[in-house]
Amino acid sequence: MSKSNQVLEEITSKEYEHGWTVNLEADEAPMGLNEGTVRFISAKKGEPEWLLEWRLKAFRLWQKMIEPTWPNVTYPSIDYQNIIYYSAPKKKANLNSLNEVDPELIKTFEKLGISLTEQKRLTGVAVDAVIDSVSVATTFKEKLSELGIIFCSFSEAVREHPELIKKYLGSVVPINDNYFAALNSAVFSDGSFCYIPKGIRCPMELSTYFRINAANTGQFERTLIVADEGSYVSYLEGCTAPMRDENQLHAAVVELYTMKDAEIKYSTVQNWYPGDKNGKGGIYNFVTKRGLCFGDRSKISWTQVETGSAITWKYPSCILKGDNSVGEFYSVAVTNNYQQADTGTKMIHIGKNTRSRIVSKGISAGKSQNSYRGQVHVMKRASNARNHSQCDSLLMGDQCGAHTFPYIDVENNSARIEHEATTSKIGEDQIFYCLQRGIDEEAAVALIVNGYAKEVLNQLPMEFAVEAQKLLALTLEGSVG
Amino acid sequence: MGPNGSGKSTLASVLAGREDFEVTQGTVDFLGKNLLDLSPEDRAREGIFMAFQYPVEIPGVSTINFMKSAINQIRTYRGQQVLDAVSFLQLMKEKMKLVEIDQSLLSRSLNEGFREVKRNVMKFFRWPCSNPSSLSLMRQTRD
Repeated sequence: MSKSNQVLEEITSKEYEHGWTVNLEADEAPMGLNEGTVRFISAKKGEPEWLLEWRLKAFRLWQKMIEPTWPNVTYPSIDYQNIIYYSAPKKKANLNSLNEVDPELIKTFEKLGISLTEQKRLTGVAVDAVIDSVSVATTFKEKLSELGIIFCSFSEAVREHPELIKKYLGSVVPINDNYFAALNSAVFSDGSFCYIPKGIRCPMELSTYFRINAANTGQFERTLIVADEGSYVSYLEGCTAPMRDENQLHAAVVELYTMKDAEIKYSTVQNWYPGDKNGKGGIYNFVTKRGLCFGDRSKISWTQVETGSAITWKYPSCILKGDNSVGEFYSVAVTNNYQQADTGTKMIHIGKNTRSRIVSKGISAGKSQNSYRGQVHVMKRASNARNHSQCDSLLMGDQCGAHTFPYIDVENNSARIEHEATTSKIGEDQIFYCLQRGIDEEAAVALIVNGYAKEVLNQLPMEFAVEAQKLLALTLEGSVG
Repeated sequence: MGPNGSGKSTLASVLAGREDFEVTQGTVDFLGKNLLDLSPEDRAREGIFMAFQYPVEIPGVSTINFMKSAINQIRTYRGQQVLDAVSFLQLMKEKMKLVEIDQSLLSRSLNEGFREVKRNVMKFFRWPCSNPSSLSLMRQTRD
């Protein structure tokens, strides 16, 4: 075995950092899924009749749908009756302040480096923390509400702002959109809701932190962000889960809605447990993320750094309906060991002069498979649409795979579409050059990989960029072939 | 020095510790240590500096970032204190004056898009910064 392969072995066998669990008393639904489960969840949340009906409709549709087989991933079939669909840390009837939150919970998030006590928080980030199925705390709420910004858990939004939820829930991702979105619509338990009123520029980053704790549960959260005319918000999402031998399902739906001149910037650092180095365990991350640029000159920008999960299936997309609207997708997807990722985006150009930009950087190591799947669709009416796609793949070692599946449909001949793709390996020359300047192999790979992903990492807000860089280095240092 | 094909590059590569070569016998004594016992990065930290005729490009990695990693790893190896951002920049400024290069080059990606002359200037810039005790220059001729 060559030296570089040894280093690859050592580094890639590095343990997952967030693999611990805590003992939280949980309130759970019985295992399995039927109409009763849907009613149980809805009743637990004290939901209005219309929402229960909406869930049931989704459930009935889901029963008739079949799991998609087109993604370039393989996994044993999921037994949907062997999952707990609702698990909530037990809490006192009503939480008035953070002082009443279970100290175990606060400790959990502190361990993750997220302090829920506001005075300790980095100024400039408001957090909604979701553990298993429910949101446990939202910080900086009052300060935001002075500006008319609503930022709260999904359940709270259903109670406090039913008119907004009724209007926008499912408006971007309809309940029958796909198998996992339908499942989520039936059993989603919590998530975040955010509304930015007209002309308001949200003064701080809003952030949701997802954590799966309980065993055998699935996490099905929903995020809905509505940006009214001329408003702006930057939103961050982070996630971790304990190490477990069995696979756990995470099927989320994220809907973004921008009106005239509004902008949403959505950043994700996804670090779900990827499974061990033999491919045992890990999260199945089947997520539907979509944004609707409804108004003219609106803009949606997705940035994702995907390092975790046994399987990732996700395509954050933009529907460019408003004239002159803009969609962006920046992605770094890293797979190692036996991880599989099939991720990319869809840019649907409907309005005139719409523009989209795709920058995808895949990095595969170990025995992993990494696929980019992206669609650019220019509709008849979308004159002067522009798209530029750039898909780069970086391979480490000789047992992994990188795949690219671009789909381009153009129905208007004034469109201009560009697609660039490269595949490369980290060169021995590059490594040797670094070694010869006194930089060890681990640091060299971290430098090269971060350089490769720089264009995407630069899109992330400052605190996130630092975390993402560390995460990339941790997952991949030394993986040279 | 020597004619083409006489083994200058091979010798330099062997001394620097390129994996492509296997040393079957002998020792290389360098300031009291046997180089062959050391990994390539430790040889560099001991003071072996090899100037590449065609330095590789590393896209997205700025020269300044690269230099900082290199210098601090060398300093740690030599038991010196790691330089903080301020003193590092100061050092850079001094050395830049020495070889008369422009500050804007520091934030450019490593060797990317440099013409040969510039690459060579940058190479001689990196050399005094890492404070080596020996320098081997390789001048290969292109066919």
